[in-house]
Amino acid sequence: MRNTLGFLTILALAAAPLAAEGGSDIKGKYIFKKTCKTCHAAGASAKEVTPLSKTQAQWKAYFAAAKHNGGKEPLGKLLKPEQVKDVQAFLVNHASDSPQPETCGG
Amino acid sequence: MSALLPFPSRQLRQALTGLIVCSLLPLMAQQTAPAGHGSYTKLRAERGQSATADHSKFKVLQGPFKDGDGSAVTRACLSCHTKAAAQVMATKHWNWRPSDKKLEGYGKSTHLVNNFCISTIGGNQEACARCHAGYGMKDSGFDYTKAENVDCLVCHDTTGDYEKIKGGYPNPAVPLADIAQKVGRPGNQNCGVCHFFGGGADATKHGDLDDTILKAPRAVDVHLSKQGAGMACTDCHLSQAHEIAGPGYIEAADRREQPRFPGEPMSRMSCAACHTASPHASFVLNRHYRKVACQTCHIPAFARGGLASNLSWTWSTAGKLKEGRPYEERDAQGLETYNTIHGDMVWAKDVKPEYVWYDGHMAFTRLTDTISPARPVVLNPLQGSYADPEAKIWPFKRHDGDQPFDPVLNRFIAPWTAGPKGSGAYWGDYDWDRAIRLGMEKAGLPWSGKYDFVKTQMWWPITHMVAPKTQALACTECHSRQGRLDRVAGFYLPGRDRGAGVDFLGWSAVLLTFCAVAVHGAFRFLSSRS
Amino acid sequence: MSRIVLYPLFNRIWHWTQALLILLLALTGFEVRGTFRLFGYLRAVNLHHTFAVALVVLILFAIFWHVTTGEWRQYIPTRAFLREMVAFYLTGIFKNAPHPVRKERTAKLNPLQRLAYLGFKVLIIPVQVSTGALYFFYPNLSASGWPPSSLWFIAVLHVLGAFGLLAFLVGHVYLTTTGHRPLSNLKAMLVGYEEVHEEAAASASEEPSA
Repeated sequence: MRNTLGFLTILALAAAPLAAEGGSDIKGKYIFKKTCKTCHAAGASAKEVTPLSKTQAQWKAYFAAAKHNGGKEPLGKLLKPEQVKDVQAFLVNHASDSPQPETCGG
Repeated sequence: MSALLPFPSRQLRQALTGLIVCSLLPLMAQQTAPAGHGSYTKLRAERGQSATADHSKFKVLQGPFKDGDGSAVTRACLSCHTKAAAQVMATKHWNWRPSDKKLEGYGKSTHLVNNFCISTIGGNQEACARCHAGYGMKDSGFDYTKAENVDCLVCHDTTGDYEKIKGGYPNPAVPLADIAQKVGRPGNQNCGVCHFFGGGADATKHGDLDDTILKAPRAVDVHLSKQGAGMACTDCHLSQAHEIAGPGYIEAADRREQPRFPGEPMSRMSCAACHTASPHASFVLNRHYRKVACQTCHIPAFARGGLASNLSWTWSTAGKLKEGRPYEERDAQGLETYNTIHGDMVWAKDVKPEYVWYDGHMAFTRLTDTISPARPVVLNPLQGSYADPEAKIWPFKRHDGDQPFDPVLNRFIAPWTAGPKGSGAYWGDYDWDRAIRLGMEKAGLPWSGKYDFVKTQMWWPITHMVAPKTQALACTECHSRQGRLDRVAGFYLPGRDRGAGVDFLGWSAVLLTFCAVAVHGAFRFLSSRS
Repeated sequence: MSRIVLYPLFNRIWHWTQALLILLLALTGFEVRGTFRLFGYLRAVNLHHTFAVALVVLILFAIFWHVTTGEWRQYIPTRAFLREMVAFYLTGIFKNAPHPVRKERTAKLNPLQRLAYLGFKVLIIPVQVSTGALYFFYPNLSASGWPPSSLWFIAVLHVLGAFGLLAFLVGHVYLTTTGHRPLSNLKAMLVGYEEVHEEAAASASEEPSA
């Protein structure tokens, strides 16, 4: 999905409450794009996911449960623990009910 | 007849030859296929194998580099490429302004105004620096002389993993050592990370440059498509000492008609440099070269890759909130029609260009220039007319919009747009008064304290995304009434122009003759029966 | 009845080739003008050039023929029988009056025809050929300083000439039917000779020379 002027939006709202348990929102966006989107994109092997797919509370619950791909493929296997935190920070900060809802470019 | 004498003999000879050729071969005069040339993809692969250095073997590039510390990588590069930073620091990509002192103020790091994000210098440098080939541009205090600020990787990354954030720094998640060990010549992706996203997002600004080029089928771009010539941007935009050929502000687009020769200065940026000035089998088509840019017929529409380009940006309607929150609206195609941070917007794909006489020169408007707001202000008036021997009819994307201006000083304004809530930046607080006051303070420019909006227009030349010749315009797209050149004035165009009353006069004469013979014939018929 | 040869072979070939070329030039020319679509624009332009060159070549041959055979004298205008010819077309023809001028080999054209064809040869054709050439070479002329407006004049003259030719064609075709039988003139132009009545042949000796 096209993200019109998306990065400007991010920059515009750069106050970006860095957040969720010490992860880096900016790093998280990069990792999400490079790793998660290889499967979770339109036309790819798994369901398309953007930060808007869930609310902040839902994202937090998702990471707490840690059941990626029904538990068969834990995130810890794909990413380093601090990278998981970065991705969580990005998704939570830009969730559908966040102050800066955000899809992820491309 | 004396006017016949100063004919350049070569031109006359060509015309006579043409007359003979096109009189003998009328049925073959449609274009014939040109001799194919090898795929540039293959050429490039071969050239790649000829590299003599494997950067992964250099100790200085092993890292580890601190997250986001691009300058550390630059220092490592400069330990071998000792003169590279000095070269880069002399370029437009670094300075964002012309080196010529006479052109003071023309450049995005100075007083230039554009129809999209308006200006960098009202405090927006940090956001804009995502596309600056350097590290640490946060405000007007950026140090343009510091070699380690040069960003080597944005142009030389071959992995596609490099990404810049505000201030021009690498994203801290970027694997710097890995990228540094795989550097190479710039590819289309390197140019594209900035030039496809001009105006803030993919396809926004140019109309003929967007991300779809990287995977374009031949039908979208015969040159850059892998199924086409497989060329790279740098095959035409040649570089010399890191300065990449391209029309900068004020400097004319290259219209040189002949190929360059070895050792000549850079630039292969005219079609004729490869295709010659007479590329068609048809003499009649070749004759168009003098007055019609190749792009006019060979780029039937812009934004052809599937992404819509921005056609209008109305700043005056920005700032509306819904339930106290910024919002956006999209049309049925998913194109943004309104966004609180931008105002009303118009997007479209496959757009017919507008056609204008253009000799490669355009003027620009600076924050320090006086404008007359009574009429829409053209930010980059184009130069050229039929009578101008350098001018040709060129395709353009016209971009409409409006911009804040100072109605007392009659100058444009540089508002601070990109900043967080509470900072006073427009996209934080949606308060023009504050955003303008802070922006003009940061820009060091006077402001009367009043603002209003004035309609503006900007013209973007269309030159990329050249279509296959089968999609080139048919003659009657222009040689007809209500055709594409309907509003291009100053000359007689066969098929479009008639001469007032000529048809009436002519057909009347024919009709009168017909009536006369009909009456005469009728009388003869009747009299022969009586 | 006897046969009188009016149109030698070259005369007929020239006439019909010229007629065909002018028709084709009109078709392609009006397509370029945008009056209709037929061949396709680029093809129409190229064909127009081809037919124009062919016509010029034909005209050169025809000039050579006229000069070497002395046929050019047939077009020298005369006032003799001019009034009678006008009167014939205005009244006589409706009363089945005899044609006032008898055709013969050295004077195949009546005074009105002489005027019309002379005008065709020294006015319309030269205007069309010269404006056509200027039109074709206009890019070269423009490069050597001719103003943009000059093409407007060239084009307008060329088109007016074309309309003139069309009007001429209408009148010309109609007048072929005014022989002693509607198709006898046409037949003469095809086969070269005409059947002439004896008494008409006898009175011809009284015709004054031009």
